[in-house]
Amino acid sequence: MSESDTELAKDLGLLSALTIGIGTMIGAGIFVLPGVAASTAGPVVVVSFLIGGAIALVNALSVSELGTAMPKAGGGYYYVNRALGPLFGSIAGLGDWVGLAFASAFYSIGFGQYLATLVPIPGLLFLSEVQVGALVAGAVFVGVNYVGAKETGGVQTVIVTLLLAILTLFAVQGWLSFDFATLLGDGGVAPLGYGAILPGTALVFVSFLGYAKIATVAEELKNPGRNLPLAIVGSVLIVTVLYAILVSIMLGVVPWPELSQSAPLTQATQVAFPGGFAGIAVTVVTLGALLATASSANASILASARINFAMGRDRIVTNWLNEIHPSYATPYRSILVTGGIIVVFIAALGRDIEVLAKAASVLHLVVYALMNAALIVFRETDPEYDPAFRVPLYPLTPALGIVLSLGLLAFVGQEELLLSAVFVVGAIVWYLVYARRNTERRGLLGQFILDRGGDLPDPVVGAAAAVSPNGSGRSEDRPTTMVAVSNPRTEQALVTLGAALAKHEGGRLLATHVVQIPDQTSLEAAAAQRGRISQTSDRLLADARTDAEQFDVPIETQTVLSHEGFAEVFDVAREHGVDRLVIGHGGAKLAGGRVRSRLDELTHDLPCDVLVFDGQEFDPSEILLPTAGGHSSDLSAEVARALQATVGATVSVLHVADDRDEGRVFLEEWASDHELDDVELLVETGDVETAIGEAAANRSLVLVGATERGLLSRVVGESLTLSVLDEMETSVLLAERPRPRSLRERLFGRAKSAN
Amino acid sequence: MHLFDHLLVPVADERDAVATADALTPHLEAVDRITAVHVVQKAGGAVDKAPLVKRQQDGIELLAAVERALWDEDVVVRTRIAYGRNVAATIVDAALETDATAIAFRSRGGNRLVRWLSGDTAVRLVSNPDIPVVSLGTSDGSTTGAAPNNRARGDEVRG
Repeated sequence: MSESDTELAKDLGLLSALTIGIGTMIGAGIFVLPGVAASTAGPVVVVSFLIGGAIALVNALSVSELGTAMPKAGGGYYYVNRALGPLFGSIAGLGDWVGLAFASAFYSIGFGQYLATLVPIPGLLFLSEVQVGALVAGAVFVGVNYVGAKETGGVQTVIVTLLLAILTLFAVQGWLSFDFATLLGDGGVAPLGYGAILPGTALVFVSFLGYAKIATVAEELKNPGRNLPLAIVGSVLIVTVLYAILVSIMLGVVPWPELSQSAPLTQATQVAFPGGFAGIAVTVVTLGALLATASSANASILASARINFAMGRDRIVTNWLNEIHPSYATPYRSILVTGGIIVVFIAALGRDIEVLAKAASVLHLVVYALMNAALIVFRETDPEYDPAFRVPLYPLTPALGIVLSLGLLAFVGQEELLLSAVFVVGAIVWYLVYARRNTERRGLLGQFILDRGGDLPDPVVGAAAAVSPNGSGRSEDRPTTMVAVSNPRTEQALVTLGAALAKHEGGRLLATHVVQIPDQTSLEAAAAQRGRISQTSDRLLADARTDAEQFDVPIETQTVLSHEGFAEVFDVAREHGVDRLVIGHGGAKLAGGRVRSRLDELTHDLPCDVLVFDGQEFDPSEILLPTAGGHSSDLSAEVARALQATVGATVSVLHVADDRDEGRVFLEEWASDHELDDVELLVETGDVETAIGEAAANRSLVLVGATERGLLSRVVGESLTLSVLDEMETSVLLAERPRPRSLRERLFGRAKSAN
Repeated sequence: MHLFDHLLVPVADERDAVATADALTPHLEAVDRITAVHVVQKAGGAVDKAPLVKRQQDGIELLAAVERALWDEDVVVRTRIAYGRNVAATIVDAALETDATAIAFRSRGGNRLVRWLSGDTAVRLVSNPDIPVVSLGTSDGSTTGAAPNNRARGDEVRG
């Protein structure tokens, strides 16, 4: 059930993905912008469209590569956040989000313009009639998304096919009325000079934003390795050709200075079609325009919900936004907030469609530039980066993407740049005051710079360190003891143990509730779980908090959903840079008989010191510490010392030797090496298991360090030879330290990243 | 084979998970197995209303809540997430696929407008079933799921 059902859930095929892209883009470039664009550049504006298409294509190649490497919700935001870190992630995420809101406001205004040609709309207060129409339309789009319109792939394909049919009809009839003299007009191809081409591109670039929306649903795409690049690059190529042809025809039908600023295609249709058909044709074209702008706005609202989700997942914004409505099954809060922004934009800026178009473009261009930089960072620093589609001519293509995206900004106009700068600065402030304390994931670039602290100039390293996330201001430098709690019966024992150890070294406690779930969906999806914590989890972790507070140890809690239990605990420990992990024996068995080989591998590569507690109640008053040396007994000695200091434990060290005198010499030396003062030294001869069993009888806890590596794996595999431990009434604490070599590597690695 | 040998229990949201488990508890001696299912509604080729991964996570969570609520009971609990355009049809399909003997569900109530807008799964589930369907009541007779009472009782049961 697991694999195939999850695959079933991804029901967006190539055609669907293409129609998302084309459907979103077609609305702006043909129905809304030609009039305004022609008035800024003249007939040569066709070239503006072609250049816009070319810039979009370069970026589309990069989006495709990143999308096939990481088919994740959120698109541009996700890649930037992963590569360049959460500061730039915040800029990309909020920029993309607000950019989509600008675009939606723009599409709504376009809708309003065509609506005004069909029905009379009154102006209201400071709002023009178009704005009123746009506000009504925007409110309807948001309302429909709030309730969750039941749309199907079929409807979407029909809409796009219908639009293409309408446009083809116009193209054919328009071609018949096409006149070169009209196209060239009095001033030739470039009456306003060739210098007007690029400002024209800056204006019409909003027509090419649709392809990025395909990337925001990459996570839901069938076979993304193939379909994502085909849909993204394909939709850009198709609409670029369409724009060039249709805008040329429009300008050959109506002279450019006369082309309508608000409903250009209606006007061109009126002129192109012969008298009797003009009325019908105009109505059809107008309805097509309404359909096109509505579907563009709709796709933008859906795309912003994906970006919010991705940002919430990384805690750049609160996950509260992403709550799903219990009856409508929609991310209603995200939709309402986005809708609110759209309405404000329509009301405040809707009089000038240019401002909305350019502001949307600027923010997207900033995101594209960051995304191209992200691509370079992935290729250069991440050995696991493995996209199915690779941009040709690397590193030229992404570099060109950065240059073209930032270069186009120069032609946008100051007002829009300023407006967009406000949002970028706002995103930075947002990161510094909110996201920095909440997000934990550091970008590859920051990691790369900090890892090479010595080789790079100090200001660079300093800057990277200064903007690194610190995750709720928590003291990341403190040693961290992670306690994996899953069973309310052993929670107190484990947390008490963890808290005692954390207190001794001035560390902090991380209580992790591992909720084991059946094999249903990818581990990845389960591991990404955040936010809402169920009642049981809440209570369990609240208990943990109370228990830890009695030791006055700082504690954090989290819930992890997993179907791999034990392995997941290791992953979480690794991810959080945990120094010591405390689990219950039941926890060690969580994984049951599943994928034994993988487990063996896991337990031979411990993420940190691991303590496995087997018992109901943690009572460290009388500790027995059997030792035969070995590096894991270093750990048990440390634990014993910590318990002596924090809870006043009495410790007896036991060594079983062949010769009593040699045994005593060994034990005294071992105890002093490990700074164990005030301990009782017991030396026995004979059978190890019997000796341990007898000594343990009147003690409350047996603390065993693994004498050879792999003790833990044998516990998990239930082939522990020290069967005596299983039969004892006394609680047992097993301590295993990772192999010395990997430990040194780990310390080395951490020392670098702690800079 | 008895009617209640293997119940398929659809669960829609978190509140529903707790309430459904509560509603089932008094009847468990007659039940051997329970398969709790959460349906993620798909758009079938259009962009979904909500992010897929978010809904999968929510599904995992609320199914885990059902499992925990029935943890101490003498019944085998399995869970699964199903995907489909039509929630009612997907529930019936899941029941047939898992060889359930009956579907037991708790109507979530809701006013007429919500039912109309969100499509009333309860009505479609019982109107033309391929498999016996049991509508679970709550012990206080309310089907609208007045949350505070149900939750308090749920806590006692599991606490």
